[in-house]
Amino acid sequence: MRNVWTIASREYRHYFLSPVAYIVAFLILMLAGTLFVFQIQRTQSYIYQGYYPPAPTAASSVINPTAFMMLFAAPALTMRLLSEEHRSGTIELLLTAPVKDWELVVGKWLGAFLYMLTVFVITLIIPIVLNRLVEPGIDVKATLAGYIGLILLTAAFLAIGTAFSAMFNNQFASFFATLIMIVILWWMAAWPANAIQNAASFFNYLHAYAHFDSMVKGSIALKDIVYFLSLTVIGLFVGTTAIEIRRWQ
Amino acid sequence: MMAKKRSRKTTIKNYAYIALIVSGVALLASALFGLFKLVLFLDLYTLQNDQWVNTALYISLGMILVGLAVYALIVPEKVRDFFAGRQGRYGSNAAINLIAFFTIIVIANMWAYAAPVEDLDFTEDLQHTLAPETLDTLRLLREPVHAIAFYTQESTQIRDLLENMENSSNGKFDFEFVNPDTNPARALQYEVTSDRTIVLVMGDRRESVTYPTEQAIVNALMRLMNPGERIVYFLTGHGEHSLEATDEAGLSRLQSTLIGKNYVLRTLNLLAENRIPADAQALVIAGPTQTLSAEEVDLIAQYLEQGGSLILLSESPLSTGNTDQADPLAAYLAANWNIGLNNDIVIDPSLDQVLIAVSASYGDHPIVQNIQTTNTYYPVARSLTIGSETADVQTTTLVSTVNRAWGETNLAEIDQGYLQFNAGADTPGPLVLGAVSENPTTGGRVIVFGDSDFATDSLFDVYGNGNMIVNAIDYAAGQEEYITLTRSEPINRRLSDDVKQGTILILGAAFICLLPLLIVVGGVAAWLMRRAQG
Repeated sequence: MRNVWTIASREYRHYFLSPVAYIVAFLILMLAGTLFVFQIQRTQSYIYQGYYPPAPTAASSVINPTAFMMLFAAPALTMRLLSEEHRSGTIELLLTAPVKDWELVVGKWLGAFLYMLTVFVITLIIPIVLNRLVEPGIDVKATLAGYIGLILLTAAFLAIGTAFSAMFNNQFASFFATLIMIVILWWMAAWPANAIQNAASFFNYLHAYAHFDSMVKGSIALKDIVYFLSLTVIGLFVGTTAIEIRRWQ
Repeated sequence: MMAKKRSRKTTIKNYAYIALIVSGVALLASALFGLFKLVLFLDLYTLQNDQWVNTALYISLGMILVGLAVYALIVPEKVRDFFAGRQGRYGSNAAINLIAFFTIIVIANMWAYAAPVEDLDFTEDLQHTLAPETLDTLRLLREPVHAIAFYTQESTQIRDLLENMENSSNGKFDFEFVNPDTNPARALQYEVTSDRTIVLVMGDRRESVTYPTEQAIVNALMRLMNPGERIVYFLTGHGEHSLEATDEAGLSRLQSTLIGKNYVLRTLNLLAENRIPADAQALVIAGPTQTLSAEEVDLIAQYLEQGGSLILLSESPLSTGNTDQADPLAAYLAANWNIGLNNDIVIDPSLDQVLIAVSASYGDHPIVQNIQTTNTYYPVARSLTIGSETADVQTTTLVSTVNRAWGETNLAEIDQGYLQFNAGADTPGPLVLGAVSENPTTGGRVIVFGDSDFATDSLFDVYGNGNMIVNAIDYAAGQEEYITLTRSEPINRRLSDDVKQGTILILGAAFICLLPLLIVVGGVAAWLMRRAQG
């Protein structure tokens, strides 16, 4: 476990020196901030015209845009994790060090996950400010559920990225493989459900967005949690197996 | 002896490959049967009896194992060599680990999907929690109810609701989603004609819900549990819209929807029958082009006094050409039920086509409860006048137009396209398009609309039109909501009045400029530090 922590904290610190991490944080905060201000402005202009629409929520102004950005942020943050080690040859050093394969993979993933948590903590300022602007305040519990969904989703997407990073030497191959995988899960997994009636519930279950969306709407189901944790564990396991296979090849 | 045995052993080993061939052929057969099974599963091909495919698949899978086992028995050393090799050992380890791991993941997800664990409602106003009345109704279910949700695109909201209901029903309630586009036979079987319909099946009885909400589903369940024939008569003989006709002026869409809700629909010719049958829960007069006779109106009056219900979809005499005929029904309704029928045509400037009246506001009544946010459209309508309230009749406006609309009384103006409100002659807006009167003592109910076209096939599916007429018939037949859910209203969250343009400018400066800028500064600082460190 200590090895996991050592690798994770090294990776975490590394992100603060990496331009990709700053670009990710910048884009997330820029998008969420812009949408937040735009929604407040639009609602205010409706009030000015005599309409009284519901106030923007934490989900619409920060959680949903951040989740959307994760589609691109997860491949960008993880593409380097193990691919870089393969390319530069430092993986040999890591593999001969007294570190188990799973510790290496989990440590790398945890570093990226902690980095994203840090960015999410910064985004919390938006719901806090929004709470002051809305009467009688935002739905704090629903916001919490939304953030839980966002955290689970991030864990899963980063694990998928870590797995592809362990498979490919090339960072861009890792980036695009992760992006395609996430886009399929996020948008396309439920498409066959309409065509194949017999397996509709199977394909609907695969659809990551549906699981995330129900959490954002304030309903936390066991199946949603198990779904995202499963994706995370699958990612880490496949990543570990990929490293193992490289070892004996 | 030894030599003989050795030679026999050698002979068997020479033929070990046959076991592998058997396995290989079985593997090929399994793949083919598996593929065929997939084709069947995907509904690309249908078989009368697909049992034999399963049997063949099992036999071929069994043959693979038998072949491998025989091979391993005959030449154990070769198998050992295969697994003991470095690649083989690692490869098989990895394969077994992956298979075991994925099996566990699949089982965990299947368990989580089916586990009867209630979802946690993380909203302050408990929007995902079933109302106590829903829980009571589910607890009261004696027979299992199967809900079939016909949705071309599955709704997560409805799935959550149905899942919640299933979890709280003690196994008495379950559901499935069916896409009516890809499975038209099922839709036809349950007489489903519109998307987003839920059919509840209990034994051989069923109820369809065309506007699925928790309230609507609970009431459909209540109706399923309390069966009884609901007979509605449609008056004929005065040029009314035909129930069966499938042309634009027909009422076939209304008919199929009502049959789906377990109604029995009959036609009634008052001149021939000379009475309104005692089993009539409601009488519908859908767009008569001729006026009713005084005798017919007397029969209707008697029926209403005994607690009957009438739905009149009236047409303006200006459009039917009956301006010079007295209308005994209109006189009776104005005198006894506070609803006057004006001899005008509604001109509504809301749309470019000013002859189509549009609902601008709805009253507070069960009939219009679920269409408050949906428009309804009434082409070439007449307006109604609500009389002063009398002690024994309560009248409620159901739907009215915008203030700018007026009731044009001069047909020539309409024909010439020269439309103008003439104070004194025309009826000033806002105009009442539909109203309901009830007599609490007798239980009699009268629902009047100043238009009949809105309920015909050409307009039935337009926005809330179909719901308006179906709700009206439900109410007239005493099938209004059995229970009203005592759910807490969602908390109304509004932007504070303190938020002014200045606040928005500050927010913009902070969130669009300052915060992202801080990140950029951090990034540049990190880059400089890295460069300094080399």
